[in-house]
Amino acid sequence: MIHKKLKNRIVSVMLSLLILLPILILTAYASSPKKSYSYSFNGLSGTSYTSAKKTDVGDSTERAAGISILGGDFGYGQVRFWINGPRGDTITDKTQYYSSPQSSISLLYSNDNGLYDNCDVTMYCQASIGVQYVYGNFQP
Amino acid sequence: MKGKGNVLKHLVLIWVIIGLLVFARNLSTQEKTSGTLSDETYPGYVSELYEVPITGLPCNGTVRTYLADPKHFSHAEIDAFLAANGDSIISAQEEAITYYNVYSGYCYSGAKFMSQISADNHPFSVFQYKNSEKCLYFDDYPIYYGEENYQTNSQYTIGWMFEEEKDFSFASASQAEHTVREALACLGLSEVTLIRTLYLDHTIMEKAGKLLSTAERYAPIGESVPNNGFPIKEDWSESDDGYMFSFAISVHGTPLSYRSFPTDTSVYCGCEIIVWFTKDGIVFLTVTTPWVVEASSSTDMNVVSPQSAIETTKKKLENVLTYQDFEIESAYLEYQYIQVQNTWKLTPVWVVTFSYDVLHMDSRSYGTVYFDALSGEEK
Repeated sequence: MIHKKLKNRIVSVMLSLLILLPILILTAYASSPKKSYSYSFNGLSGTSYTSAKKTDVGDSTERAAGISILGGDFGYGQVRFWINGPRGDTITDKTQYYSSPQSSISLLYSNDNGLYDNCDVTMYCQASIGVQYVYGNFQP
Repeated sequence: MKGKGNVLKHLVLIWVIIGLLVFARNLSTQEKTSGTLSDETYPGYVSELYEVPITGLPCNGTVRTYLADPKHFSHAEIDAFLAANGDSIISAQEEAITYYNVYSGYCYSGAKFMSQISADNHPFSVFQYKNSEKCLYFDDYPIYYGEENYQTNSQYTIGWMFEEEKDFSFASASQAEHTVREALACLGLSEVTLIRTLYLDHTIMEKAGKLLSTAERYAPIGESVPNNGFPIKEDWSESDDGYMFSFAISVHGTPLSYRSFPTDTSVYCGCEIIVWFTKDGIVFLTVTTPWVVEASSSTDMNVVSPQSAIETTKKKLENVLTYQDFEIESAYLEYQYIQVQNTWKLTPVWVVTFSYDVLHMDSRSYGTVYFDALSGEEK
């Protein structure tokens, strides 16, 4: 009896997944594409920034930003990134330090971020001594 | 058991349909290119020596400073704007969210509107009106979302494909601009300067879709998705044509800055008005940080020559070893707001823009330097 109940429960869960997964897939296709910005920073400046517009607020991609490091001269130095929102306050954690090109760095936006569609955000890059320059892409 | 078997059959059918859709979508996607364009080029800024174009120099060489107040849109102004666009509110709500008061709702056309205001926090005021269904491709395609981005990020945008002037059958560009200006006047934005017009021809939108969905540089960072995540339309027609207008607040003929940038203590929020206009009227409007220009707070004062700003910028760039082949792109006069105790003042600023190469980077980089137009000091 218990074995039959357990079997029915497992079948029910699997049926629910089979119903939900197509919906999730179709929803993923409906998300708004991220807009790209290029950046290049002179490492001798210490902290540099670039401004961008966030145009996917309200879409499924809004929770995270993406940064790539395409190249640069790091010397023996490192860089890290964070993002400020339209109020001027920091709305992501600071990333770890990097000393080589990275294909994809993800930053999650905090809950109280003041973001609205088409708002201005600013990506900061802090470079330690030794970094000559760094460049890449940023998708807010 | 028989009932569950039927459910399973239907679910398998759903999965087969989805699988076929995915397969068909991937089939229609061409092989990704390396990023070079097949029949379109984007306007890279050419490294040639040329005289720096200077705009905004007052005829008599003098300017004034002005007092200003952040503009908050009233319900009456929002209603008047909607009426001018042939629309009205179905439902609306007003609520306090963290630092802002937000008035938002839905309209009969299917559009949403949002007015966000704050007495103490940037941005002081934002108004947006958006009919998502009617501006889907304008919004999702990286065509135009700010003049600074348009000038400096052409590698990743496609607005340059729509610069050729033309008139569409539903309205000429000048008629469309006039209609938009009348709607902006309903919001209390009568004194505005046109920054840019783009002509969104449906035949070029079709080409743009193909470019966006195949060129590697438009792909999302760190992942591969069909068509680089861009929606693709197969049946473009004249009914999809539209115009994009961007405006700046005019301070007695000189634009108020549209740039946003961090300052030592805060953030400078530029003021920009972006409108998408089609046969259905305004389908998208965003107004950020508008100001009401009040009385002048000075007499006529002499403007410092822009040449000194240009020379100072050149000397600054010569000392940066990693900047190669830098070029001064332009110098122009604009107004920027500053806070003086409890008041806001608009002061004239010379803006010098420049471009440069960075070793191993394919595209040029851009920068901006600001100078107080009355004292000549770098800001």
